[in-house]
Amino acid sequence: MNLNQFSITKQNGILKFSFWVGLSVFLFITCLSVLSIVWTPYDITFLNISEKLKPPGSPNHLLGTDHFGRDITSMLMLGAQTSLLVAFMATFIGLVVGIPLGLLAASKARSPVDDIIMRGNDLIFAFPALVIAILITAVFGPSMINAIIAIGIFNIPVFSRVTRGAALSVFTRDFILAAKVCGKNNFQICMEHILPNITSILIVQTSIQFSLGILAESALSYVGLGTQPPMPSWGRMLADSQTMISFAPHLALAPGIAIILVVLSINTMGDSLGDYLDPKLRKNKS
Amino acid sequence: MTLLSVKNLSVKIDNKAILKNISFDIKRGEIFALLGESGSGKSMTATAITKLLPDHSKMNGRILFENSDIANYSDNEMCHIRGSQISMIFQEPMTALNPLKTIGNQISETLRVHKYINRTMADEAAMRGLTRVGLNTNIISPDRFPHELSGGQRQRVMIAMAVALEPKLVIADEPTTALDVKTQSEILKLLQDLVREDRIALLLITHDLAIISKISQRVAIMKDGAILDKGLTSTLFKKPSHPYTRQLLLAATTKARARPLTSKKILMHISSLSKTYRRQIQTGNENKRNRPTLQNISFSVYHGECLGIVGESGCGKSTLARSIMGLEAVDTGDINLDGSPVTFKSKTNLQVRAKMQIVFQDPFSSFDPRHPIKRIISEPFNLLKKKPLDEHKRILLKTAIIDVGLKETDLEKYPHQFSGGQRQRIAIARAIIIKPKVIILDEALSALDATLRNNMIALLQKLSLDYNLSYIFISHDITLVKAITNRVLIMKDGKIVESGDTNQVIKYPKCHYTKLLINSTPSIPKDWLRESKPQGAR
Repeated sequence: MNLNQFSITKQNGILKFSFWVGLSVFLFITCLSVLSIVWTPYDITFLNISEKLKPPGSPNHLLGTDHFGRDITSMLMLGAQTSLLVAFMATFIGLVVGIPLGLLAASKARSPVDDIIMRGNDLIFAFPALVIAILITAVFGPSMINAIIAIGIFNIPVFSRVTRGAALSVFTRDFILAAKVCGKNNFQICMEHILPNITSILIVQTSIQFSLGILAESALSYVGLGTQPPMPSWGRMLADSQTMISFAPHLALAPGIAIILVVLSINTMGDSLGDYLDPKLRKNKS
Repeated sequence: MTLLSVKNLSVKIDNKAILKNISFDIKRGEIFALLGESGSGKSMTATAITKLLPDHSKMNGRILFENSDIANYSDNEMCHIRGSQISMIFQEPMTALNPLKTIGNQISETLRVHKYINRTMADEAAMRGLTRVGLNTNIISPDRFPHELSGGQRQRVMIAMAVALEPKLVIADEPTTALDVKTQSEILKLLQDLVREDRIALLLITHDLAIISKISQRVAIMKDGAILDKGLTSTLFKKPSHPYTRQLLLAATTKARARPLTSKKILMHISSLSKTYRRQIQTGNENKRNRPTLQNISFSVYHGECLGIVGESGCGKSTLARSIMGLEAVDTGDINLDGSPVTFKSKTNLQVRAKMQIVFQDPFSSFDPRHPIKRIISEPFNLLKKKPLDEHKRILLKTAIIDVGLKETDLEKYPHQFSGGQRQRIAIARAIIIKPKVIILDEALSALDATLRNNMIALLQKLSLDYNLSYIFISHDITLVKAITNRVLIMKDGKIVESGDTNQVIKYPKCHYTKLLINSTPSIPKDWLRESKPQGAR
């Protein structure tokens, strides 16, 4: 009887189909970017002007070529490397620093600690992200690492704010009191009760920040402060294609669609993961 | 003269029958009550009459309002009926009122929308409306916002809004459940007056038999979406024919007897507890600011005793519970449990605290929704120095869950799979698992229906014997306190105004406030019950 109960929980606690779609799209792109470390269809440092601006579907060039005759497929693969890495690392910085700060602020709500953290956040929010990013890169030199740090810093207040807000509403629930009655300290309460109850919000926020990370990297590369040529990134590809959009739209479409695919796949994954983690939405009403 | 006549009304949501063949009619100037426990479909009936059912629901049957069948009305046509012909009063006035608008504005807005009159006229009408429901506009200005009013005042505003357009039918869905007994009796009186003066038909939805016996002429009893019994209230109460009616009456009238005290040994002593909140936020209620929440509270709890603490909301009884548990810092005062102080040098002694547990009022927010029951119940083990492991822990969990009347298999489930009553049992299981000496029950039975309450009282009394427990039973409900406690403390404005043996205090109250509390508590007239008892006991 007991075993039976358990198997029902397991059986119905499956992830939604959309999760697997999102995951496979995401894995496919990640695999391509990993593959690009060792192999790309063409060498993108090799310029072949005679082959320039070939439309998608031309022989030898599946997605066509750009104005220097470089293969778009190869550039996309290499660009995925930078874009994904920058977005990943920047989101990671935001998560690792922002969530503990937010939890700390929420558990000490309306105390000086809370004030210091939140006003610190406001301080970061007060500066336009790009201006600070330009400052950082101007001082330390433009590079991918600096772009990661610059974008990461701006993810911190986003996560700590979201965490604090969500945690505050969980803190008012009776089960937090019950946990305090059981002698749990703030750290235990945060780990056991607060975090699991705000994961879905955080997952959604993570997928949003990840998408924004890709876009921010594009913006930084666009002004020449992110990835340096010849290393391509999706953002720079978009930027470069701008002047040619009327007669070679595929130059913009290829990286654009790539960004959309990654962002969508991450969002669907985040969404169904959030549902999966919520026991109320698992259909085991037995 | 029949105003509303519901004929064979059925509602299905996702192919699940929610209402089954409901038929009743309401006359002008009559209070008709729908009685039922939570989930019996009584609120759904009200939603069906106003045609505010969820989109995917299917409705069959006829709803005759002034001889026209509104069941077939379009949404547009219903908009003219809702508000001006049929209006509603809800349980929770804070959520039903717009927090960003002044109360006067909210009433005049309804008037302007439906009657196309200008602002000054509407404002004047709003003033009259407020005065009519007992809110003197010289004292309670129409420019106030809902949060600046008390619960009872807000409910009055709701009523003023509901009757502003002189509707023919008012639906009141548990209008007094969120209120104190004193306010409750005032609001009921107000509703009665309005019905008599305006010849409104009032459809009163409630689970409280005492309220029904007090104000409604006719009643229909609902269970699982069907009307089981209906008729004149007095006949139904005096000669209940349907077994379910009898069961309800029995549940509402059976008085559990408090277990007599065996010893007078003091288990816990609380001396001169005081606490003042320093409020920074401006509240509209001036005298609330910086008023002490607890003033010099001292009392003892004996071994095996059930001590009641009664008071209105805001009298400080919940703060008292939290202070005792060490969840709130107190300004002065000591708590001594079983010979040792609970707090020592402002640090809580967890070994002593392990002898106290608490059960909260709201069964829906007192568990982490992400944890299975076994993890929820084992949380108090954290207080123990030596935490039980594997097999031993499993046995303890199993004993606790079975002792509260649930099954061992329930340990694997999640809180949302249980009903309110079962959840309170789980809360008790969590409280008893480390074998405490005292359990504080903070309005723990208030959210439950009469039948469930009686079961819970029986359970609490059984556990008190098995585990040698004392209870501190905090409630606003004097009938409930009478049923279960040995001694009672009456609290008002953070002070204990009266204390003593429960029966003595209730029979011969000394304090003016206690008398007021007891007199406002609605009860079923005694002569109605005399005849029903032998039948019920059969």
